[in-house]
Amino acid sequence: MTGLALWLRRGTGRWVCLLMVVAFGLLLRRSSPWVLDADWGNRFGAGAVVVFAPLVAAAAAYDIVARAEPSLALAARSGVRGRSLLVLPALGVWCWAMLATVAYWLFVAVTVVRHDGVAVSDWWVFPETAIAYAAAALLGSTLGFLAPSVVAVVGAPALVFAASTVTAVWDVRLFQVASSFGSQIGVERTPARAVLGLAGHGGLILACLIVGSRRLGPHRPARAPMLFATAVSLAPLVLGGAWTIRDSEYRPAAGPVVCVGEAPQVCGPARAGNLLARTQHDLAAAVTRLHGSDLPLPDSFTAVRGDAVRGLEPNTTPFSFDPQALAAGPLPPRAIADLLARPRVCAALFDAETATPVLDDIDLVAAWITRALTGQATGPAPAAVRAAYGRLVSCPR
Amino acid sequence: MTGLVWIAARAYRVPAAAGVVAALVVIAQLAPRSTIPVGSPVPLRALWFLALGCALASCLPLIGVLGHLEIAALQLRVCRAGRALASAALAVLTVVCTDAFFGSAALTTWFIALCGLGNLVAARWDEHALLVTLGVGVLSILADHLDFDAPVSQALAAIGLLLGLLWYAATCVTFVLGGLPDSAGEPRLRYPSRRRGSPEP
Repeated sequence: MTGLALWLRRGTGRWVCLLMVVAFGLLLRRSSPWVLDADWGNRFGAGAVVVFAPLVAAAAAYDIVARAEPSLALAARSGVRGRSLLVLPALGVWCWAMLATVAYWLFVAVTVVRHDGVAVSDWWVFPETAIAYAAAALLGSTLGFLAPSVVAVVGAPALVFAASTVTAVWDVRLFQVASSFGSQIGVERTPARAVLGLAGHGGLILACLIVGSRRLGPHRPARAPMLFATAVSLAPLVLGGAWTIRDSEYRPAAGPVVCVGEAPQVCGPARAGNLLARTQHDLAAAVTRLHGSDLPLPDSFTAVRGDAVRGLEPNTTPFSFDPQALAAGPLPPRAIADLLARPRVCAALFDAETATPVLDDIDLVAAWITRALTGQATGPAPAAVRAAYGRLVSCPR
Repeated sequence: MTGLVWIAARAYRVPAAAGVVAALVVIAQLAPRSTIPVGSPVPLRALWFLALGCALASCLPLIGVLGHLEIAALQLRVCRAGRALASAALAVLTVVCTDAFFGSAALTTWFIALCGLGNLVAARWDEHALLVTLGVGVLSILADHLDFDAPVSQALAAIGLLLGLLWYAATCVTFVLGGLPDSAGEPRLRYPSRRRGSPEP
């Protein structure tokens, strides 16, 4: 514990933490569209892991090169505390990086609670982030011992850059955590992908420990078993490159569904019940206002994402729930118009050649509904709008 | 003579730096359009990462983390000129090898500006140049990709390649002159003590 305190106090990690706090500040200052969705906020921040990981690796390598010094490492090689020289500097940098990350998570949690938003349900993001930083830190400190002098400080981030780029198309993306710039309501993290990511980073950590142990431990293990153990620990990485998981990073959420209100009824994930109620209230007011429009407006909406659309009842209108629109208060007329102008998901939308006329119809209807909701149009909808809406209601799914 | 050049190159860590640059350039050639999601609608082009790695590698010859005797020798202007030259050669190598793949003047200007920053920081704070360059690079990447207006790219496009090159030349001169003794005969720059702050094993 004393050793860790020493590295926490004297290591480079505190500067990494400071930089991360500044970067998170920039991130939050730009915009916070996630204020009603904690999962979105956490996944939004997770996108920065790939940018900070090289910094964490470089800091750990720097601490080894500049602070532990080769002479100290040589002295430690004969002592029982030799391996701690590999782990403690990395642990110090990791703790500082996690301090900034946890501060960001807490900020997200407090902001979402203040706005009466949806609490965290995606718990994968926490271990995924922690293990990615741990792998980067340990890679840096291992390289600090292996590479000559200050070359390690360049080699460690360069290795992270290279690994991030090369594995960007794999299922195990090194030093990356699945990120999102859209709401996570209605979707959940695909467990197989999360586990593979954890295993890949865990394997890298194990490999670093094995290689570092050979270099620093009091008793050097034999070369062949060490190589075998290193190869086994890196197996998840190789598997991630060769094996393709059919599911993407996220899949439709399988949690309980709740329906609120009538005319129209709005259904969606139970955990977002309060947001659904607010949406239903705004939709009901809009439907009442459009009563004389002669448009057969939908009477049931269901918040679904991805392939879950296929399992819906024919008379249900699917919609992609975006809590961002609710962040500033009631749903704006344009957002309501966009919801009402898509009474069903037309199959034609998924083909580039047939999508244009459908999108034109949606635009025409949405524009008129927006005008009607803002008082610029009254009475029945024009014939062109009614015809367009008729096509949208009856289009093949 | 060849042997002397090789020894100097080794002392300046040119082979290691060239190795890092070569590896990153090869990856850039193999995956020029590779992207990495960073939580923004526009994913990060991996070339930015690879360019940052090359900028760091080009800083390597500038760093004088050697014994006290070598540090004293490295205060000489001729040594620092050699280091700056080696660093510039690596930067030029990177730009030439990846020019077709950088694809934008903004990215090339950003790379040159970062290399210049490395020169400037190395002139005063030695090996801290690596962490400062990396930190500034990381922050600028993040700011550019999380803002729809891409403020860094816009600023670099406004600055232009010519001004970027001028900035780089100026920082090279600063680095070389940084080793000259001041009027009191003391070296203008002090290298930080390697022992200070070292924990006990």
